Parts: sequence; C-alpha cells; structure tokens
Amino acid sequence: MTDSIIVTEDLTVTSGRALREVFSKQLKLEIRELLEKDPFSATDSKLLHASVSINGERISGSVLLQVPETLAHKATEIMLGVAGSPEEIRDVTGELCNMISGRVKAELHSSGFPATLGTPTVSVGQRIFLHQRSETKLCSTDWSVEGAGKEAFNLQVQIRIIPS
Amino acid sequence: MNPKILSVDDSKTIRMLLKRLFLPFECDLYEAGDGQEGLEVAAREKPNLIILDYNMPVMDGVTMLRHMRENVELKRTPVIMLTAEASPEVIATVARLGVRDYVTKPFESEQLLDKATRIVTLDLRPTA
Repeated sequence: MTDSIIVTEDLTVTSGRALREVFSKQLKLEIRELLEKDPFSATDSKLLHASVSINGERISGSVLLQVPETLAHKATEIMLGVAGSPEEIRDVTGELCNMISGRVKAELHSSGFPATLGTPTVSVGQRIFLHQRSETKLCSTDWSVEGAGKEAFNLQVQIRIIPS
Repeated sequence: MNPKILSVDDSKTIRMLLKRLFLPFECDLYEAGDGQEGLEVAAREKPNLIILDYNMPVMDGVTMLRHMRENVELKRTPVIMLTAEASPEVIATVARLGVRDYVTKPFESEQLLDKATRIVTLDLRPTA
C-alpha cells in the first residue's frame, strides 16, 4: 500500500459520496454540487460549523461541515419531527457530520489507513476556510439542496499522511 | 408487560430519533448518553433490547459490551449496534461479543425497526 492512494480527487469523490448518502438516507433530501465560485456570498444567515477529527497511526485529519442556520433548522425538523431547540439543532448538525466522517473513515480504512473518529464539535460563525499545507490533502466542495433555492453549504475534508 | 428498549448514544439526536421511531409502539424506552450510564440503566431496568453506539465519551460501546458479557444478569441481553463506525475490525469484535445485528449510520428508520422487531414484539399502541 502506498501513500499515493490518497489523492485530493479521491478525497473529493469519497466525501461527496458520503455527503450524498447521508442527506439522501437520513434526511430524504437530494443535493447537488455547486460549481460556481464562492456561492456563500449569496448566503445571509449564520453558519453552523460541525467538525469531527480522524486520527490513526498513519493519518490525521478532520471533516468540517458548514451549513446555514436555515438548513440546520430544516434538517432538525426532518430528523426529530419538531422544530428543535438551539441545542438540538447543533446536535443534529454534529450528528450529520459524524455520519459523513464515518463514511469517509471507512473508505480511508479500505485504502489501508485505519483510524478512529473524535466526537463532533459544533460552533456558529462566518465561513471557515481550512488552509492547505504542503503535507496535507484538502478538498472543499459547495453544495445545495435540490429545489431549495441557492442556499449553499460546504464540506471540507483535510487529511495529513504521517510519514512512516 | 411492555418490552424495554435501551438506547445508548452520546448523540441526543439519535436518542430523540429512536424515541420518535418507537413512540407508536407499546414499549418502554430508556436512554443513556455513554457506556457507563448505559451499564447502570441496563443493570437497573434489565432491557429486552439495547441499541448501542460505538464511539462515545466516558465508555465506548465495545467496552460496555465487554462489561455486559461479564455480568450474569446482562450477558444474554440482545444488542443491535447503531454506529457510524464501519471498520471490519470493529464489526468482527462486536460479532465475537455476541451482537445480534449491526446498523451503520446513516440509516433508514424502517431498517432499524425491522431488525428490532426480530428481537422484541412491538404492538402498536391503541389509538385514543
């Protein structure tokens, strides 16, 4: 197994597949990838950031899901059947990120990079941009829910291969 | 007597989702936020089914399972794992610990309900 197995394109495909599966299966929402540059400029509402760390002997990294409050509200209503308190909305966002991370982690494992997941952390604020360093693989993709206007959300996955 | 189901997950979302899932049925649902609390509730309530997460703070699902298997009163309690963890090692470990079924998140509610009804009888609550 060589380190070259994890390339940014693979990470993009893997994380996109994980995201689609979580939205489709858990929320019954179809999503599409946005190709325009910085679709977040059209988003006024605050963003919830959910993050889960992925750590193994040979890799470390994180998954970051950023969704507008309105979409987090909608996801909460779908999952819990109620509007949800601010705490519940944060918990739902964290759980969605956890599910996506689990899928990403499973694919990393099958590529020879076993790891464990951290517990989700959630915060509120402006859009975060993870920075790519020379030794990391980083993918960032923007998405929207089909039929729900142009409100964008974002998924970033950052993986660093630890030299053996 | 209604079957007792214990949900052990650090995610309030999952616990609420399970509460909603089992609400139409005549069963008593109990909750715990980690494996340690799960053991305490299980010892007290003797559930007929435990729906258990893997990755939790304080005590993870596998450790809770190991403690259960060493406990005379809990060692035969049926467990369904409900987790984002899907690595072959974990699946093999929990299978050795006698887990009855394994559901990975994200999941369809109907899928989990189907697996639960293979273990406990769930009758619909009479409508008012």
